[in-house]
Amino acid sequence: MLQFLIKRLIGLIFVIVGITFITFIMGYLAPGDPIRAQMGDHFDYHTWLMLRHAYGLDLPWYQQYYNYLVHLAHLDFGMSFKYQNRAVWDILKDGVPVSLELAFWGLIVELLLGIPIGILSAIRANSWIDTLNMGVALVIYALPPFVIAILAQVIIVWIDGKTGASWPSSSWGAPWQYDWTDLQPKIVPILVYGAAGYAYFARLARTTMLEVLRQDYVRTARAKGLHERVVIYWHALRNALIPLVTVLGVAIGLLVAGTFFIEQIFNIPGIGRISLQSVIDLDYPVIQATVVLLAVGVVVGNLISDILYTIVDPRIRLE
Amino acid sequence: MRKSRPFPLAFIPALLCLIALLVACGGGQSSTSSTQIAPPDKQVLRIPIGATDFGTLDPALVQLAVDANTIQAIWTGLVEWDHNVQLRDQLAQSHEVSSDGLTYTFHLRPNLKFSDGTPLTSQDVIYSINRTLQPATKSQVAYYLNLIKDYDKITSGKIPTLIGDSLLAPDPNTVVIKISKPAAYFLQALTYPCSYVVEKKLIDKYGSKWTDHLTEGGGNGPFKVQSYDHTKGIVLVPNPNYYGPQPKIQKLEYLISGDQDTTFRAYQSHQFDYTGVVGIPPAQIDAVRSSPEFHEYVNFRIRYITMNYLVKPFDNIHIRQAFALAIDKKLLQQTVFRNTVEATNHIVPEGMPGYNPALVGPAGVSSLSGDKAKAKQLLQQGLQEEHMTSLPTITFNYYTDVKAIVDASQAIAQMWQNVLGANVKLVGTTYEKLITLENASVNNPNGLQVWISGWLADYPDPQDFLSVFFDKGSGYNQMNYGQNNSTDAAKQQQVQKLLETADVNLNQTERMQQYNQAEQQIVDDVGWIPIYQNKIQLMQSTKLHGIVYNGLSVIPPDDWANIYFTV
Repeated sequence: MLQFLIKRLIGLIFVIVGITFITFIMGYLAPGDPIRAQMGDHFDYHTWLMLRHAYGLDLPWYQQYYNYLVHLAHLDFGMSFKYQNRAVWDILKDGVPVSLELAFWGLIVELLLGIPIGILSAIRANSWIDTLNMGVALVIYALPPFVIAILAQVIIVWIDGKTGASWPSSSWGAPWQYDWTDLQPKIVPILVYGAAGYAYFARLARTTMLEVLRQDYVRTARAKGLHERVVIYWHALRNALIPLVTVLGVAIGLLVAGTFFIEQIFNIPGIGRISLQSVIDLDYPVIQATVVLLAVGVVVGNLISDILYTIVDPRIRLE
Repeated sequence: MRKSRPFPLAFIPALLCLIALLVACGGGQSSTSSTQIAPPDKQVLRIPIGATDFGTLDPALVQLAVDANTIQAIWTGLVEWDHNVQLRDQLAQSHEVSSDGLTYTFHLRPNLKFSDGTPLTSQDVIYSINRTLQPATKSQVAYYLNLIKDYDKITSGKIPTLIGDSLLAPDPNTVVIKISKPAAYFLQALTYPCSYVVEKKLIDKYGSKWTDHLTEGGGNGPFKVQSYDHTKGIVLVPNPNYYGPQPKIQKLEYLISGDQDTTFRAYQSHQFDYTGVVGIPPAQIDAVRSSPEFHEYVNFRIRYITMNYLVKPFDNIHIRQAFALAIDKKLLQQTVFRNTVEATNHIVPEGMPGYNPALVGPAGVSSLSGDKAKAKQLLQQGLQEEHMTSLPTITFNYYTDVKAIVDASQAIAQMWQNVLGANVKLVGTTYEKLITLENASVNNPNGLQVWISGWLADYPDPQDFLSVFFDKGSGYNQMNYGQNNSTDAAKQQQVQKLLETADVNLNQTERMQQYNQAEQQIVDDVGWIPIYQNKIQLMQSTKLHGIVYNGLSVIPPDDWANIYFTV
């Protein structure tokens, strides 16, 4: 196990170097001069030279990249172009807990909705319940999350307008705090996140469960006269979970990426909103840092999935 | 096999939505407005600032309007604008100008204090201005102060400080500023926040991070900082040490609100009292125009088309006039911009000191719809004068960042084609690239030929439009007005002389007349083809009273005493 973890960590370093190189070169070759873009209508050549030098943009690309890596090794992502006198990490560090919170509760809602619905559909395969469940799931799966998010907001605005209530349509409370004022703005975005993602798990759970229910050992269990509940929850479910765990690992990595549109539309101060805005502002240091963070997220997510795998299926060994 | 009847899980999503809706329905409040002033705990004004945190809250660095609005609630300067766009003394009680126009003396109000109670003296005033100019501050807006004597020397690092040189504090209540040449617009430039008075103690303690510690003091305006969170925004409360009348608003919040659509929905769900600088999504404007919450006013930005006098055929005044009169600005306003802008023939925007309501357009045509017949006639006249039989291909540069500008540029090219038979080649670039090309057109016969651009007043004074763009030697004279080989270049140089006279004329009435005369001449010469003046559309709660809108989009510090909510 330890050996496996060390191997994975070494792999992670290569992934990060690769990712930083790609994002760096893309930023370097992208059209548009970030310093020029910040200066607006007024262009003063001396100020431009001074700022280019201050940000090290007058160096050749390999030197810029080398400096970037050296700073990265010290967990220093550099200074933002847009926010004067602010370090990139200073900007991101406030976003990380917010995105993690949204992703965590969003995933819980996805799983709590998706897996039971999928299993129910499998047990009642081809009944009207199954058709309804999978029909709804298919529609939601096909809808982009931002459509659901905007729809939810429009409904809030409509209700607020009709009743004079002040339910917030876009906001977020203090991360991991659950007083009513902190909790209230989080409810709708988390539900939207969950609703947008549950369909995938529901459809997958149905398929794997159906697969498992056809297995000999399930028939044997039923033949033994076991209670149907025991057959489903003890014999079938555990085996049906294995493919779900694989998917879950990838999902954890992409969770934060999945929050991008939700954060943007609901004005949630997480990594997603910061990333999208930094792209609009040509704030390269922030773009690079968010890409690195996401890459780490995906790699760590895969690692977690591999470990979970051995837990649900002891036949699999990591070595 | 026994069939159980499990709870229909499929209904969970619907159920959760229903619960959310029911919770949302609880606790209603009516939205009608009365004349009774709301109690102090209801005097909470929440203003959205858009998708991102402030670019900076350091007055020495501020560039964005949204940052400036907040800064102007926390800090004040020697002189500022009132809501009628008239210059007035602010921290200063009075000021005088020496007879040669080179020395400005300000007398501060007595007993000024920072928000933490520390006395504010003339030393603090000159420290703040000097700090903006020092290269270590990395200010992108230091040029507002470029009239101050030895500006070049300090910004290039040749001398470390101007204190004792052109910035003097002979006693704790007197500030003396020396400038390098007489300029009747120096006080106007001094209204920009980069000369506002900041507290040295805080900056010495925290360096460039001092704006993260404003709860400890640092300001001198009507409000002080209660809390600042980079992910949420800033909360201000009245500053008991403010020298002016106390604000009625007890809590002023500038909050990160998301993009324009998200912000607008948040306003509709009562999260904000005012849409502020974020504005209203263009697609929604028609729907809300008749609402009592809707407000609209012009701001000091002009979009214009202009041409390089060094590139043929635009060295000919009649051809320039033909191009100007071929454009139906009113039609553009109504179709492309859906009446969110105001078509104009003016260079100096409406609402600004020096605006000339009597101005007429090129060749005596005042209509905003142009004059097609006259345009054709002027074109023929111009072609004959140039011994040309037809127009060469016209290269028209525009920027692609804003969809309305793309649409407007294409429509204008079409108008030139239809009215003048011109063959127009449209070249789209980014705004940033276009500005670089514009700058490179000064004295350059190979520079841009025709392009669309815009200008927002740095300070509301005609000098900022007329002298900045049309005077000899100005980096913005990209048209090469006056400095060209056309037959009327001498006449243009006369206009430049007039501008230079107006720039130093301390008699403001006479000065404005001189600018009016110069502007009329430049419009007739088609220095610019002004297309439209920007308008700001916003929504404001009917319970909120006392905000006076003007082109500056700024709430003057003492106005806060008259801004309040009714129940």
